[in-house]
Amino acid sequence: MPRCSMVSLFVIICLTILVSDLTAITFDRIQVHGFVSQGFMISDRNNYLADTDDGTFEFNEAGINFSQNFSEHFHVSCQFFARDIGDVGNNDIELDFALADYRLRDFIGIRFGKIKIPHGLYNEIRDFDMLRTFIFLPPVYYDISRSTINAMNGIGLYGNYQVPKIGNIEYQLIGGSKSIDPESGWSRYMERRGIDITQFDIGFVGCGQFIWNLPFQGVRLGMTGTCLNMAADAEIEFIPISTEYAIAGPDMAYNLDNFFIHVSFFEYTLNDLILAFEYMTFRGDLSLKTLHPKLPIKGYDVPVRTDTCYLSVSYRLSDYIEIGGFSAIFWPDSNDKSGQNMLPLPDYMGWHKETALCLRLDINESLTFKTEAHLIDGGALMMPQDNPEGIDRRSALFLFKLTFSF
Amino acid sequence: MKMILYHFYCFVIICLCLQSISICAAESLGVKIIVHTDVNESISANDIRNIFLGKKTQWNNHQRIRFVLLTQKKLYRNFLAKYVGKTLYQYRNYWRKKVFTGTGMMPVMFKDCKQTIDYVKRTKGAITFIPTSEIISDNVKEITIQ
Repeated sequence: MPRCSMVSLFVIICLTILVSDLTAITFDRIQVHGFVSQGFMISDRNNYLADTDDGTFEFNEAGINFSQNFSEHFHVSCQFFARDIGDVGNNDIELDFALADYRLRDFIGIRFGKIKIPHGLYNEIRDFDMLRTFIFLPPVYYDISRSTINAMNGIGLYGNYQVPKIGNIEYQLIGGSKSIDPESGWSRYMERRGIDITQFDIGFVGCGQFIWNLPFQGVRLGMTGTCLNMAADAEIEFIPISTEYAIAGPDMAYNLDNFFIHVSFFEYTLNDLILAFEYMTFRGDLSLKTLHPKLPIKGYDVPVRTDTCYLSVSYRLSDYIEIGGFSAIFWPDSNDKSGQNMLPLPDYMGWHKETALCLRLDINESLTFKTEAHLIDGGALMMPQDNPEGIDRRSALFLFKLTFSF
Repeated sequence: MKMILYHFYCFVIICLCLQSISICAAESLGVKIIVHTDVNESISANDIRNIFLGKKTQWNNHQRIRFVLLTQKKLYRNFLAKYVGKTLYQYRNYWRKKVFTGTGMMPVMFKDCKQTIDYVKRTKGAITFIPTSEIISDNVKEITIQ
């Protein structure tokens, strides 16, 4: 067991013994909250997100945030975050968000700074294990997308309005920009297509969220949308480039225009039961152009038509135990759900079907333990670079995670 | 592979069997809503829900609403079930989500009823819930929910 994982577990256990009733630390008027998570993954066949077929502890997150009210309407908060999952993150500390929030009225407020992007039901809490039932969320929140939709720099409007007999309407609209790390999940996903992205250049990013809380208790419907244009420099990996065509700088220009991610969702809460359904679409026009004027392969235009959806159920049995499950499906190309166009790859590379079961134990208010099993059919989300000996159609993944939070 | 799955499912079933599922009605601990005496408006059940979810942040005169939680478990559960429509766990997670996304701060909370009432007494625009058996005095008044 790696030394850093032992240290993480030791810290978690000590903290739990000392501070089992801690909900926050307060210095004067500054609230401080944080968490530490350590997980273990093991799979039976394919490696999934990390070197899982031998079992791995390269699966942890930690974060700390600070917030303070400066007046009745104005507060400021920021959060630092670090994670490691396989080759991604490597515990580099990043600024997760840093924002100022002025609430003018209930129906309108302003936020500016680095803001978490609203995407579906759970994107804003995808990094915080203690705030959700599942260790791994469904493919709507697949790890490769985190770098694209985690947070953005900009300014946003938000609010809610109570409409008699209609319910409560919430909205968020944010405009700005963002940066993406070339070592991020999106780059790893492009590596499977033989493209090594070296630098991103993101233009304007806009996102919006609308949630309708129906007058029937426990029902809410919503929709989120994120749009951006992405440009990147990339090196060609899928074919060897003769020195005749080598140039200083990147081999190709990677442009993803009219990139739009949409999620529609439904959630029903009845006492301790929560039912959720989400459907996500990725649409965009991917254009790859080689930069050497005499390279035989000039470029590709590839429309991006990715769809995914899931249905989840969770039930809280008591103050200490919660169970949950979901069934999800992901198609990288919604026009080819049977994978017929994946040749010479096998057809199961055209889908990813996943069923998960989770058991969550809340040992106390600060410490949570989860165990989870995933059964996967399909290779659409398996990375060839993690599976050099090939990708099996079916695999199972087991996860365990311990989280301390305050 | 099948053996791993078999053992996993056995573990889950054992955990479920060991956990006694308590199906009992919430103890009928009556709840009443009290506010600072400077609050002079009628309040509906929807308003209570939106106040304690941080969606309604100002009284009609634009004064800031300051809600405080009395975290005595049975009373707290009853209040959340009756007025907010969430379980204790869901409500805690709701506010923790706001904290960990920077969109809110944890509400003020006390375990002691006297401290809670004192907070409402000294804080303009304050609102909370207490047991119906609790006697209130100056600077605090009970409100009737429409």
